[in-house]
Amino acid sequence: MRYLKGYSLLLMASLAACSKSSNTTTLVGNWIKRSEFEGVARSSAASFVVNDKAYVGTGYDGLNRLQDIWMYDVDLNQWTQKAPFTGTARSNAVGMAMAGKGYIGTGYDGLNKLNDFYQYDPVANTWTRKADFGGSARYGAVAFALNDKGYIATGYDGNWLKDNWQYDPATNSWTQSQSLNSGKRQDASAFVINNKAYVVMGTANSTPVTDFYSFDGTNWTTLNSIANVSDDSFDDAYNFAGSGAASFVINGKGYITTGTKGSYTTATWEYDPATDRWVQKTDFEGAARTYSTGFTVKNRGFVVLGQSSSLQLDDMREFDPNAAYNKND
Amino acid sequence: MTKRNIIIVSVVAVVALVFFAWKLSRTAAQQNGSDMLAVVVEPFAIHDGWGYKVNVGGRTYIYQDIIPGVPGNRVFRSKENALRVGNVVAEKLTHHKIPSMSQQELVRMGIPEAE
Repeated sequence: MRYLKGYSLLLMASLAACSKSSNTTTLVGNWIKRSEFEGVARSSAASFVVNDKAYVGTGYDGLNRLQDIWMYDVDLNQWTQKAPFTGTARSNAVGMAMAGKGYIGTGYDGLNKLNDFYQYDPVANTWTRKADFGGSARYGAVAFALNDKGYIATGYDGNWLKDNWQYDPATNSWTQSQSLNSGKRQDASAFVINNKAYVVMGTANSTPVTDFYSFDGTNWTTLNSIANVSDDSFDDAYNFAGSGAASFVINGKGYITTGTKGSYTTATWEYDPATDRWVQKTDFEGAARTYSTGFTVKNRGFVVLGQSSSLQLDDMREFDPNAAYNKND
Repeated sequence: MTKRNIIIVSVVAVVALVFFAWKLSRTAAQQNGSDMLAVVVEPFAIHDGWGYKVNVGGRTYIYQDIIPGVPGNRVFRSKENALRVGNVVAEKLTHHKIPSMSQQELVRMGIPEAE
């Protein structure tokens, strides 16, 4: 009897423990491992910034090309899903903003290189198809806006390209503009400082491109190459030529970070247009990656998403240019 | 008899202690977010309708003040609809899917305001 009493007590205790733990197990659906949290993860997304909000969408999730568009609020660190892109799902498209509207065009749908082009109205939350891109269908181009005119340049259409096209939203038309002096490339980076666009990095024939140019809306200016080619010492440390890097601008200086340089990299470099010099900064703190999305909001630089081998990344990092660069970091 | 009872009672006590310690550590993980993140859907009233937040690890990750994946700035007609869609989004997040909704999915779920 006393055995029975003892064993039943033990049995009850273990049953209670079991039922409690299975109760907790039913909560698993509402839990996720921090390390496995993927969020809106993807690579090769297109982005633009309108009214201090970043819009990021399309891209590749490792399996499918995507059509969804998310707005990112940098102050609240929150995502809101917006109206889906109305073109075919794609990756390696480009985005830019002019006159209060966002634009996404070109890219790759998994089979075809694309030349269609769409406008996003952030107030109405709607997409409208606009005049097709004037150049050949392509992916891996760069896009930027100067004086409320949009530009799409470089990329890959089966060959590496250096042409440059201007979109005028007032007339909804494309005009061929001055091409880059040389340096055909895909997966380059672009940033705009004081109404000048800087196009840097990129790859052609599996070789990093080191030619570096600025564009003022009319002409391209050849800047110092991003390689150790001069007799002077300023470029001795230039080792960051690569592709698929994210870029942004803070306080009149341009930044490029992450990308592919033989392998995925976290290297971050700062460009000062006043001196035409690059300085290495603190490495990107997240995983080394490529095809991330960089953007500038309120003079702050952000890097979101990207791809690390087969893993699509979701994390968001703000870059602080004043953090000390630590070589041993 | 007393000796055996003491053993049984102490075994039960140890089992209970381990269980509570495990549960406590799990609660702590939820609070400081060290390993597991709680995914919680929270509907809210907005513009004569409803939206939802999806909170992950105690902070709002998705703030949906409009119906996702449809053009225009529409709101959910009811708290229930906002919650239902929010739960699908949360489920996608916990199943390692991109937490996007399409118009077809919303219509299939019987959300007429998304049509």
